[in-house]
Amino acid sequence: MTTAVLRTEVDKLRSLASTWWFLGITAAVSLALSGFGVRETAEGQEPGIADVLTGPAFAQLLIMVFAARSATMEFRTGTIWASRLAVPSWYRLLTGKAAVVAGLAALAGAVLMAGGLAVAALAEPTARLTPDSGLDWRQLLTVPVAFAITAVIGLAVGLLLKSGGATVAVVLVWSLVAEPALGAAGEWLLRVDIGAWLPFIALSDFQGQPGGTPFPGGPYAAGLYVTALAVGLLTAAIRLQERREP
Amino acid sequence: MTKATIEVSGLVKTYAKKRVVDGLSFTVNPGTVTGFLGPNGAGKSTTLRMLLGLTRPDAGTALIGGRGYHEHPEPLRVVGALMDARWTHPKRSAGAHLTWLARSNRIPVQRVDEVLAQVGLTDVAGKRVGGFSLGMAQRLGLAGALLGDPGVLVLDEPANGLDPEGIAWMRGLLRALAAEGRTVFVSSHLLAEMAQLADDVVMIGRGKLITQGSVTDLTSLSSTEEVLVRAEEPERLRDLVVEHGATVVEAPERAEALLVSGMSSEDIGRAAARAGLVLFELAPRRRTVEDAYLKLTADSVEYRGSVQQPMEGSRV
Repeated sequence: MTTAVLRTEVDKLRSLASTWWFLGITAAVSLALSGFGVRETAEGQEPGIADVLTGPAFAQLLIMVFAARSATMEFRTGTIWASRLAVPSWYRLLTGKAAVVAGLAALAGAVLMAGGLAVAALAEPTARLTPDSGLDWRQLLTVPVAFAITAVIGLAVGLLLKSGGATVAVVLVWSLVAEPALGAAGEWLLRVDIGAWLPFIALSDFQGQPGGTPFPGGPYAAGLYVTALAVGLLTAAIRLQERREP
Repeated sequence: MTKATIEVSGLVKTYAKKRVVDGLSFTVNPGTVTGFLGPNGAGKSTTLRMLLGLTRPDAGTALIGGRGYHEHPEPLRVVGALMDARWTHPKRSAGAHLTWLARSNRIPVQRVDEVLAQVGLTDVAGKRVGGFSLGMAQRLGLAGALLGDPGVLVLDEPANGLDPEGIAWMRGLLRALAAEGRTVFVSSHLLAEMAQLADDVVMIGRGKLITQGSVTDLTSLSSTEEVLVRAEEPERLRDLVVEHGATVVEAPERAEALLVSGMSSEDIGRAAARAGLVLFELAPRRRTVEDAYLKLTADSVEYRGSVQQPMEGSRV
């Protein structure tokens, strides 16, 4: 039954033209930004891997929106109830959906990371694109992982809010506005420096993105922490769905 | 296809302190078409949702083949349900919709073409569901219910949106499925259709069982025969039948006609002849399912409208 649930979720995504459009546009934007990233490096600096990854960093946000939409669309169209009749367990249904969405996100991350490097090599042949440090390797190899984590977060928020518009607003405003603001002003507002503990800031440290706040325990602990948060949010969303009456 | 019985026992569901299903118990047997009737707000949809595991009951059980819906590992192979034909993504094709449903329960994908042919949608298998009419969407919903070749069918208003030919087709299909030994449980407001379609009826009101039995039993329940009479002198006729101990009311659907209860048409005819009364019409009225339904659910109607008086100056 588990394999059947996973195949079903793959079928659902594959059978919609919007899936392919969305992924296509995300890929185009990401690859273009990777190319521009190495072409438009600040004067005096050598273009490198971090510049290539501006593309996937933006794509990560789009994939989070895509994941949220994969949940909200089912509730909006009523398809979720047909799914529920076919798989009469919220736990199996929604973890299957999360697994497929996370898997697709990870695959997209790997493709965009590799594709970004290829585009960058064409756009700026002098760029330093070969990883030659632990940080370089971490920056590249955490891209698929980070995509999967943010996809699960987006899906979980979508399950909690059920509204596409509200979900997109919440995840984007949180990641782009609220977290940076809390990170900068948290100690002043709350008397506690919570910056490193905010999920997207912690994820940024895990990915080795420059200019971030170091996580206590190091970047790999940050990765484990954000993974646990994503799983916890998904679990809470599933539990709440089980308790809600349709 | 595995035969199974539907058994509902002591089912209770409360929403915001209101009991919408109140100790409901009934059984639906294989090889029959059973109608599920009741006024708006009687608890029919809530009962069906509890039967299909979409809503959790506060008490009682709703079993299909001796198990709760969620206990069947591949429920679409046991129960085919049509609750809402719009539970589809409008941008997905009919074939794609049925394909993912089939895969979810490891039903062979060849069944998709078979059920589409069965409901007459083969030509639009590749068409997006958003472009379907209501009748086509209903047919697709029925195709989804038939996908797993289930022994039990639970259908909520399956004829909704179908034209008369479609309704006749649906009736034939459901009767054939019941004849194969399947359990067919249909909720409907089309009482005349139910009279032709159903073998048995479960009637509920305000969350409680009013009656369960065959359609024949239902239409003969509690009433004495009524006779529609139209006479040259209606007042004399009224006095005559009252003298004989019968009751008489004005027929709601016929001006100047009377409905007599407690006397057979033969007795009315003889009494009128002896009194020299001229009768224009003397017709025993066969009680219909609608009559029985309205009589039995009279106390259970939640939402009752009023008859609007025409506005002054408007044409009637």
